[in-house]
Amino acid sequence: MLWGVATLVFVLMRLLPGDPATLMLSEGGGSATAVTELRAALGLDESLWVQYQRYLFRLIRGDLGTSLFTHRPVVVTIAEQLPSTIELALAAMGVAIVVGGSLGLLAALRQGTWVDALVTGLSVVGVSLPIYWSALLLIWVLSIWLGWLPATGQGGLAHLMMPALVLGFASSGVIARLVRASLLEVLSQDFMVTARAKGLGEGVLLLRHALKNALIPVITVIGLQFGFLLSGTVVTETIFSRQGIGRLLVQAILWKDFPLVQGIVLLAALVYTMMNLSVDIVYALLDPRIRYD
Amino acid sequence: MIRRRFPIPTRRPVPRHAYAPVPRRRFITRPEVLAALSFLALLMALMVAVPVISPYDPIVMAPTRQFLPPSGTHWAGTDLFGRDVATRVLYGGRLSLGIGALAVLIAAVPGSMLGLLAGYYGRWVDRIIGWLVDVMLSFPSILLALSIIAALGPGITTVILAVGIAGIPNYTRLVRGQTLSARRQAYVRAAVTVGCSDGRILWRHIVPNILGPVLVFTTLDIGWAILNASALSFLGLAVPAPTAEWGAMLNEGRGYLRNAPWVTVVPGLAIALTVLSVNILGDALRDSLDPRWRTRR
Repeated sequence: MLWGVATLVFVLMRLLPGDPATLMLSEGGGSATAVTELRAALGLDESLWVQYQRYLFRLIRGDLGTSLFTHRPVVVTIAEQLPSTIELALAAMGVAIVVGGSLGLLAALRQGTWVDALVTGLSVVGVSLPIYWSALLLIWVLSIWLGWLPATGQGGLAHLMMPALVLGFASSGVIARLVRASLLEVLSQDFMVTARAKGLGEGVLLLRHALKNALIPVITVIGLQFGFLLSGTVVTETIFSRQGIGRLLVQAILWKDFPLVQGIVLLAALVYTMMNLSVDIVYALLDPRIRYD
Repeated sequence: MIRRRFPIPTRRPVPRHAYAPVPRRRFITRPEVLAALSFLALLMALMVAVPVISPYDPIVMAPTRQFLPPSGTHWAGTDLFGRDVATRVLYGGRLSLGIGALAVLIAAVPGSMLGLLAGYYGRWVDRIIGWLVDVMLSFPSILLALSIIAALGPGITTVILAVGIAGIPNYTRLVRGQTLSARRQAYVRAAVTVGCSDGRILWRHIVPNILGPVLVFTTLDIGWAILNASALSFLGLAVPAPTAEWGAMLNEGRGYLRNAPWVTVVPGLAIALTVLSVNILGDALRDSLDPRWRTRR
């Protein structure tokens, strides 16, 4: 799979009709000689097979090439920006789990009431709001109007709160819906009736029997939401002017810095694949039935 | 006495005719569906009629009218260049919805065809297509779209292609699953027995039977496509400066939140309400077409 991902990135960057050298020099109106020289410098004048082999060898050695814009190794450039993105993604994940989990739980326990309708409505709104718009509205209200939080920049909890809230809320709708559906499914199972019949308290019933079973499918979705959060950082980091690989990717595309784009996309895909793999492992650990299948 | 803080949902008996076709009335009369349909119909009508009903041009600048707040003459105010925001939102909607619809078409048609082939023929066809889908799904969709834009260069056509291609694997996976289960049904085995060709079985027997879930997914996907395409446009990767497009308008307005919030609020509201309406329709369609949801309600 990792080989497939690396190959797809290579194919996208080399086989699609856009020629990197021409694209890079297009704005400056580069001459034919300049394009030829740049193609030679990037190794684009060699056959695709030779380029592909060299690309894979470099990857195995952990060499993602040199950025055309910063003239520094791509690995170093990414390593500098990565902690900020991880910080944002984890904080947003925390917000999504707490908000989505609580709302889903509330909706399931109050099924059919106005609370349930409100949560269901909120979750549809959550997935329909463009992240960049809710981010701008939050900046308008919390920074410009009330002056509570800094609008942009880096460092400290105050700078992290708004991006994490925006990104986390967008993801919490999906989690809330799933927690609700999953908990309702579990609550109607026979073992819940048995547990209640043997006189267990409501708290134990909910925590030990209902939630423990209901959260198994939720974990898969939380893992899959990580991909959404990773994508979301592209927009969120740009709006809040935060450091991070999302913003770096947009800049790299606008700079036409192909090695950097290739490195970031490859890294993001690897992280996403690893995340999905770990979700599968955790799923099997939590649910013995999966291991028997 | 047993204290019950939360109700245990009871298993209701499946009503008679539970799996019969859903009456159209049931879908249309739900208040949120009515609201969503009315909003979309009104928006479409206004977008079509805008050259006639609006006296303003979406591109021509009028520096004397810069940043006028919403009023009787400019319902949604004016922007930095004195252009009427409401007019630009309606013109921009044509482009944003067009990009979303075309991207969904690019994703749905080849994606579904690949899914049909993988699900019907199985074996090596399924293995190759399945591997391709897995590789494509290893990328979060917007990252895949961004890589395509990086390779082809920014522009409207590129964004349509990028969002469309990034959506292909979702359709392939859905249609493959549906085809696999349809292929095992008696009516398909009967068609094979009477000597129908593969093309006829796929087109006349399998496609009509799996169309429901694909239609639901397509509706929901339109919302996603509009969101993704306008996000790319917001990042400055789709349309050049004076063109009216919802994502690009938000990007233009974000520097003037303090002085003229309406430049940002109105196009954002247009995107949010459109996507919300499309999602409500998709959800309602799924509820109507999926008998399991109906019996639970």
